[in-house]
Amino acid sequence: MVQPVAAAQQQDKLLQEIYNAEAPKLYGYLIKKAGPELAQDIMQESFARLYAKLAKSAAIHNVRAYLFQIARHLLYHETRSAARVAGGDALLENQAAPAASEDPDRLDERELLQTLKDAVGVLSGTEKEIFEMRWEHGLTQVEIAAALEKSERQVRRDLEKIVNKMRSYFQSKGWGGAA
Amino acid sequence: MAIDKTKIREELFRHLTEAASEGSEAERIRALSRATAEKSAVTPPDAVWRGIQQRIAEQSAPSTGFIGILKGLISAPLFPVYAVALVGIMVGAVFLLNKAAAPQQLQIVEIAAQRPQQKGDVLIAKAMRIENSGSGGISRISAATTDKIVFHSGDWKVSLRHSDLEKPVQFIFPGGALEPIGTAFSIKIRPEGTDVQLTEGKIRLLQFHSEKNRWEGRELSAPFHGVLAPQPLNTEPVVETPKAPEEKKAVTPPRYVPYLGREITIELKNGDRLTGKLRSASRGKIVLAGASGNFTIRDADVVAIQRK
Repeated sequence: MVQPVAAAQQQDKLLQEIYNAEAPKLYGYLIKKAGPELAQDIMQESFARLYAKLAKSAAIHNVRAYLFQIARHLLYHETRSAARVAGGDALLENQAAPAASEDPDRLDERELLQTLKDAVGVLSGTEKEIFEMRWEHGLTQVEIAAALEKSERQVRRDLEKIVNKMRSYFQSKGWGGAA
Repeated sequence: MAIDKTKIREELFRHLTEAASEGSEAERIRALSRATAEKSAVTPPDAVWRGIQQRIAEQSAPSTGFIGILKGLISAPLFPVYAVALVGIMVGAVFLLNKAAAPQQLQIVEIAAQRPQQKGDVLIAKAMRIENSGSGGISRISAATTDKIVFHSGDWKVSLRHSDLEKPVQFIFPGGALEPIGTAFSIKIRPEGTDVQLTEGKIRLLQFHSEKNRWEGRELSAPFHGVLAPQPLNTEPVVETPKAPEEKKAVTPPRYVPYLGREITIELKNGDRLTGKLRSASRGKIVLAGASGNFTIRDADVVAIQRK
């Protein structure tokens, strides 16, 4: 498919901008799930597909969500296991690492993150994945819904369920009483 | 200063559900979330970007070969037209192939005089199928009691259910004839003779022997393959039916001959005595007509005969 040179250059530039903004987040998501080799392969395929879609002038409402959606599909087909796509054990594993500072606030944050990490254990596979996208990768509810091909209402309900489960866990670990 | 655990916990949950919130705890959670997201982000190696560009270049390269042409056709805006044309061509091809392969069918009842048939023609009558496997001539002579199918030339395959035939059928060909008995057979008429091959069932093959100037018939079972000597076509095969063996005349044993028609008393092995008129004595049995009816007694049981 031959495109005018100017349009192609503009598209290349756009892709570069998207890559710079989104690649670290997506790669961080993938490397944890699939290891560096497969993560790189999926990254390349995801961005190549994004480029193809841009070339067709197809509307992409949310690029980040679209990239996560493609990557998740590819990951599923590569691993042939939904379990690996869903939030894994590696979730939050680095976040409770001891902070360099001995600031009391920092110590409280470490304790919070540690409790959060432990609380993830009470979530189901899909809930883990939603939590991971929201907390670790900073995706909004809209983006999570698009990436998981769910309705926003469903994702909101899932998040409420996650919060309720976590609240019970936090309370059991001495993190305050009823709100 | 220690944090209010309940407050910060709830701020965390509000952040997760994207509920708007203000205050120092909310700000701390937002900062913590940002820090977590930053920590989770991993800058991919340069090879990834190069790989992406390479894949894009492969996508943009004009496709070649059969697969490429196929992809081009599928992605072309005229794809529906190509698809309809392809389906049309395939349907047409199937139709033409079927037409070429399907044998023409005619009703055998239409055959009144000899008429040439083409290869592949099939003649069907009740319980009978005659296929012309090489062009040839066929005719039919119908009579009240029998049907005669006359093969003048060509190659023929016949299959029939003898039990379902409306009347007996004779197949006549140069050099002979046959009467089927639940049969499948083929006839090939050649100048050097008529080839008869029986694949199923039985036939009665009638063959004309010119040196004896008479027809002879014999019953044959499948598998049978034979060639009949070339003879002019004779549509009236007459086979002398073999005479039924004469029944042996009943012979009266000599000891009974003097008593035939006379009143006698016979004494049996078991001591019984029977009296009556001797009607007959043959085939090891004797019949006495007594006062209460006829008695049939085995000759072997008779010990003595007395005239009354």
